[in-house]
Amino acid sequence: MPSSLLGKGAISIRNVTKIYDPEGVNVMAVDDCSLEIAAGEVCMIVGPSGCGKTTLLNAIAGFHSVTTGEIYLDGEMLCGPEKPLAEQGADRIVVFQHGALFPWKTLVENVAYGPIVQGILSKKEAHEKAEGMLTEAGIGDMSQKYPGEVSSGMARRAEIVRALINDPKVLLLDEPYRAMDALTKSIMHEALLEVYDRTKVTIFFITHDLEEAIFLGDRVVVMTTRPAKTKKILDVNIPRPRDYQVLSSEEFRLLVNEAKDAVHEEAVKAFEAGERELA
Amino acid sequence: MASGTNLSIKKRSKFERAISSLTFWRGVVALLGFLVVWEICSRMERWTAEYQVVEHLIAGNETDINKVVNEGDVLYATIGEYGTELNANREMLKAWNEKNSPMTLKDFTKSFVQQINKEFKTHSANVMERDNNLFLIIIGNKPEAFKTEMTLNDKELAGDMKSEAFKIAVPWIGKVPPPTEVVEAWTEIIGLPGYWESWYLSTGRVFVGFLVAQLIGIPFGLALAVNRYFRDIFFPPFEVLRPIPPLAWVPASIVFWPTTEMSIAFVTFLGAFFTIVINVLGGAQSIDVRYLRAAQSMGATQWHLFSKIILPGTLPSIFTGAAVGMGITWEVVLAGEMISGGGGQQASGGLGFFIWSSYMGGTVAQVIVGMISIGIAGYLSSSLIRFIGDRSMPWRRLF
Repeated sequence: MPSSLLGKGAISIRNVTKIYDPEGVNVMAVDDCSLEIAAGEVCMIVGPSGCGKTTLLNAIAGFHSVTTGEIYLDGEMLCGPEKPLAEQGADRIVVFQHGALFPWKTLVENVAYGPIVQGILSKKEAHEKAEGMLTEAGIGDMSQKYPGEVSSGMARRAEIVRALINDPKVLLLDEPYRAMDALTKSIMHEALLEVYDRTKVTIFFITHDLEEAIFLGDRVVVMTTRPAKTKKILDVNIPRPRDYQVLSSEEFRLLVNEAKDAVHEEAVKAFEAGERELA
Repeated sequence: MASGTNLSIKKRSKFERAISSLTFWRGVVALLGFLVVWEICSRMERWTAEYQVVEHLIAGNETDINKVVNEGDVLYATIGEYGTELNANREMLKAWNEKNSPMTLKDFTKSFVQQINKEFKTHSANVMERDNNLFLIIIGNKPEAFKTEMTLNDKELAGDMKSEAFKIAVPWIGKVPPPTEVVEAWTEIIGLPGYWESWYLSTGRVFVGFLVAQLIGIPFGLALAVNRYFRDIFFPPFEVLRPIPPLAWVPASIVFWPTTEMSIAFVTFLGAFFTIVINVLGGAQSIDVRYLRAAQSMGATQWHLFSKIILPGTLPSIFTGAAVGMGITWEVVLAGEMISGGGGQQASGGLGFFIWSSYMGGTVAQVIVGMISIGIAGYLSSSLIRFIGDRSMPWRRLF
């Protein structure tokens, strides 16, 4: 992987507050949240449903504005008081909950889309590069198929390839493996770790799954129920590269328990508040 | 991927797959059953009802019955639509007299009856003696084309004609000519250039109206979907005009446009236009925001967003709109042709006019021929749209 990427992609979230105002009813989704994510870190965000995790991700990606506070990427302000809505850019690419591969494009066309529309590569070059990256990810055989023709696991893998072809500084993953069965999930985890070990791209990963969070992450950030704040930050000091042996280790079990306690408390609060989930 | 699973499963053609599926045969059976029921229902009246019984009094008393028929006595019948004449009697009588003893009137009538039964499939005849009178009874199931005359010695003896009607008519379907008659009417006109000209004219009108509606409707719908200002300005008047049925536009359109042909074209265009716009608008608005976000975050410009995301994302709706619009277009064209009445000058012909003129001056069977022709034309048009849709949206053709 190009060394130019190393040490890039540090995100600094400073006192971010987000208030939605649907029909004049103020809903505070994020309240004075601060978080420093180092370059090349895998930062896992865990919290109850509808707590405002996705709001934070949307603010970084530039889909939603922030009400107050600032977000910096490598020291440059993405959004802040003067510019509440960050510009969308290929340096921060989102992998969505239900997948967002364009159904009308084959996998290789999907992957080649970014470089083509940015005018970086010609169509032919982009297709060649996409083909190469798909093969690297082990789904080269599938490159000419449409997303509807491949399994969800392959589609999600292709989507991560589609993100990586843009040389992003940050990958923003919003519960990408949510609807998958445990077996597929484990394969996807290994694939993602393999990608991470290769690229050292900063990963901002939202999930509900604590084991997933601890297995993949350098740090696990437990959020409070809405409005979201950082409740607890767990450092995962399990050495990389990790494999599935880790799951049965004592260290892993302790971390899971620690996280579980924190999350459970918030989950109970969220449940009792009976709040409707915010997208 | 494992490449060892190279099973050679023979690919079957669409046709092969169709004929080996139960669904296909169920459909065939249903269609045949439908035709048989139609045939039976519409023939029921003719089979059971309107049997016309015609009785001819041949001779009024016993002596007359046994009266010897002499050569020169004429006994004939005229049966059938075009006055077919059964007049073989003279030779019949001659042959009889040469071989046998002189023939009585009774015997003669019997042989005459045999002759009738042999010659006319639609009629049956019989001889009956009742109260010393001799009757020739002819029963026909084509009463409107039936007439008999019996003459003896060039003098008509036959008197009473009775007609009895027992009706078992199936409501509605009984009024419709049976499929066999429709097919017959079809074979009569299928060779006529006028029939095919009707096809040509209607199809031409449909496609012109449809294509213009597509050319204007798709960009208009997309513009409504992507531009807020455009939508604010044009959507309200569009929504006011949309509920007006195309046919309500006919009189106004005849006033607006100089020729009847142009007013038919305009009404046709309207029929498809509103459906297309609504479908395109709905389709473009329902594109999942994830696709737009994904594209934007990968650096898509407005133009790329439109051409690579919104347009392909709207394609399924465009084709849905096209299929529905095509149906409405046929409807409107035919109604337009009927209303304009062909006129014989500017906007003549077309399948709508064909139906109308069949109704006014032809047979009901021909009307049905026209109706089925439209059904076929509409089916072919929709198939064409489906074909193009499948071709332009390969991602939808998943097994």
